[in-house]
Amino acid sequence: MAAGAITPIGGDLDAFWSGLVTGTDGISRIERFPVDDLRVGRGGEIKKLKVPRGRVPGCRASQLLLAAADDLLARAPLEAPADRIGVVVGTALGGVEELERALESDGRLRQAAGALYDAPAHALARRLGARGPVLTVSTACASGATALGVAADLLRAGQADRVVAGGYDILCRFAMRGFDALRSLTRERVRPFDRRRSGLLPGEGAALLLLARDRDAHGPRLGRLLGHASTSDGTHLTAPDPDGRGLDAAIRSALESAGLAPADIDFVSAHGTGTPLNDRIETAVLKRVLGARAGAVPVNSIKGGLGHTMGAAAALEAIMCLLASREGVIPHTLGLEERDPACDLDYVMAAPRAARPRLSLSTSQGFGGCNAALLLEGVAS
Amino acid sequence: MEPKEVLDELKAILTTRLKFDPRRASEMALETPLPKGVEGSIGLDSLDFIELSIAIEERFGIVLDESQDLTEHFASFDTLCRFIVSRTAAP
Amino acid sequence: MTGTAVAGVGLVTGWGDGVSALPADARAAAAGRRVVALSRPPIAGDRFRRATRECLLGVAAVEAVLGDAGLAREDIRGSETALVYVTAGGYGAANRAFVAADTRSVVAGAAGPEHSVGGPREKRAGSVASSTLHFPYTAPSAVPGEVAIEFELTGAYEILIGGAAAAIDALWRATELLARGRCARALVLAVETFAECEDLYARGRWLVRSPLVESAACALLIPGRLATTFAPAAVPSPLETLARARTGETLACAPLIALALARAAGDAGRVSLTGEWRGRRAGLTLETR
Repeated sequence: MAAGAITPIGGDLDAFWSGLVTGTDGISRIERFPVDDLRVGRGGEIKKLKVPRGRVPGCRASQLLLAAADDLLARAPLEAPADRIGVVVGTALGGVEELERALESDGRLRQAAGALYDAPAHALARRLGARGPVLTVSTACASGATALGVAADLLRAGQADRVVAGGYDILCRFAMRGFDALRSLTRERVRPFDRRRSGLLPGEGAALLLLARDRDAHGPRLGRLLGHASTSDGTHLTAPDPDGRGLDAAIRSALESAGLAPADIDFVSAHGTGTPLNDRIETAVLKRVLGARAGAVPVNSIKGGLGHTMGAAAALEAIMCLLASREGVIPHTLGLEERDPACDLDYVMAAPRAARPRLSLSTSQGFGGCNAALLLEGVAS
Repeated sequence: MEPKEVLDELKAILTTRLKFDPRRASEMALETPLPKGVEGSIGLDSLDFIELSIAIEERFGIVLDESQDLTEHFASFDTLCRFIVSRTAAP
Repeated sequence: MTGTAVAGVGLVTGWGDGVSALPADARAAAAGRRVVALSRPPIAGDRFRRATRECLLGVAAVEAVLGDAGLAREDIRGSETALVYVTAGGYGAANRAFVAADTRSVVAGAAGPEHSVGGPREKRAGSVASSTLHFPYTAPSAVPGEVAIEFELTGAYEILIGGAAAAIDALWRATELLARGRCARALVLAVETFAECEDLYARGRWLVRSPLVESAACALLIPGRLATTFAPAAVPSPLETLARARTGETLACAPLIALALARAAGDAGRVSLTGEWRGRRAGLTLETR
């Protein structure tokens, strides 16, 4: 029904969209924590985080989530009793910085409890006055997508009348050290599907959508979530299945759940992290699924300018799909300048494309063999 | 360095960095294949190879060029030892 | 059939294997210990050399449920088995060790009490390199990831974070996946460890009501005749109370332990499970065979 966001390319939903269509690059030298001992010190850092008013936890992850919530509430009221409002958010790293603070300072329960990955979701629920189900999903970088799917199911099962759902993650030293040690980071820029691509860069952000059952939604809406699925690769702890079988299964399962076919897909928002492996495998999966139409369906990745915002990524990408429908513009893939011959889909590159997709497929993958697919139907404005 | 010394260092790396049981490591021979999926191999996957590469860089003071495909050198202890010897001998 | 039935529950706890190892009164049996710990399962093989204790506990719990349900590995392999994993803090040990290895962090070396992951802690030369094999295991998805690899599970897959209420949500997710035909069977797995973060947990009296008991539990759900109900619960069910009395505080494992207790008592038919976390108590009724 409505959305709110905070990202490295814009501090609210409108700025996010305008940043996408103007090709804003939100990647910069990281300033918030030391990176000089790492091979790479760049990422999608939110430079100016306006801490939301009122009683707000000191935890950055919670602050991002609350900033996105404030943006959302400024656009749409919740309109449901407290015990009928649910919260489902996805995160890869939770409030991991709080663990460091808990270890630093003695005797503080707040940091210790805040170190658990579901703490920010509960801070959000308190902020919203939500007394219904509060869930935290953590399927690594697919978390945002799984969260939206679970939220839709909560509504369908009558467990809530409104659900605020999405994802978040912060850019922190924990993640930088980790990805640096995995040699997953690019020392250049993030170039999804480009033949020179050499890795990802992490980013931070939060994105939330307000979901309601179709028949209960009144007023302007952003679109509909028609189907979703989350599947397991079962092959490797960090690398995707070489044939992308898990992602393939997630896409087909999501289509089946929505009663749709690959021929119905107008646009694909790819996971497109910019790593040599991901982009190649994802392309191969999309070609298999889309079949003969593969060359004719526009595809993009917005990770070039944001970095990989992990838990927030799928939620931001879902919002982007819906806005693309409404605005009649598909943002281009920042960073993609020279297509890899092995990645030969119709990527939107160099400039945004005038197009009004009705049905979008959003794909996500994460550590631990996580795969997720969302099917989103937009509304023409 | 001699290949035998290199092999001993690699076995030490396997134990301390890749968490192999020391007895298991001592049983490994020059011909033992490394990558997972090869019969008789010690089953290293891509994560292990990254850790191994980093350990080799640190222990032997060489730099492994990431843009190069070094797969053939990591096929077995034998190929790896010879690769390391050639790189440490280089002026 | 649109209902769900429980075909088996596997359980390992700090008290031992299965329900039969549980004391009558956990608090008394703990005799003042804050944490009742589980040792690293002796699962042999190179494949698990770098896996954390939590990953192995996950594997052990799935092995246990196979035993309880009388199934073999081949019976669950493939895309028809869903895996739903839930934990409140099972990633804590790995996260703490990763932070402690950071030489730039104020808290470098603050690795906590003696119990360390898998064995004696090695002093690294402060190099980022030691993080390569460590970082992937800090993610909550590492446990179900290793389980999925080990048992070749390629079906529906979800991971929830939270305590007992989240485990009720996880069971609900499994019933939904079954009802929608997304899977032929569902494994609901929970793993909780506390030893490495004992001092952190100790800061919260609200968490440490009874001993914190490390455990891993897995329930196998299949289609059944009786429809499940999922709704908020005002008070703990008798099974929730029994599980806490017999096991102690097990966070996300609690509802699965309750299921195991119900089955061990010969309860068949509808069981009522509840679980509380951060002020919300969720409830689910299920058929058990």
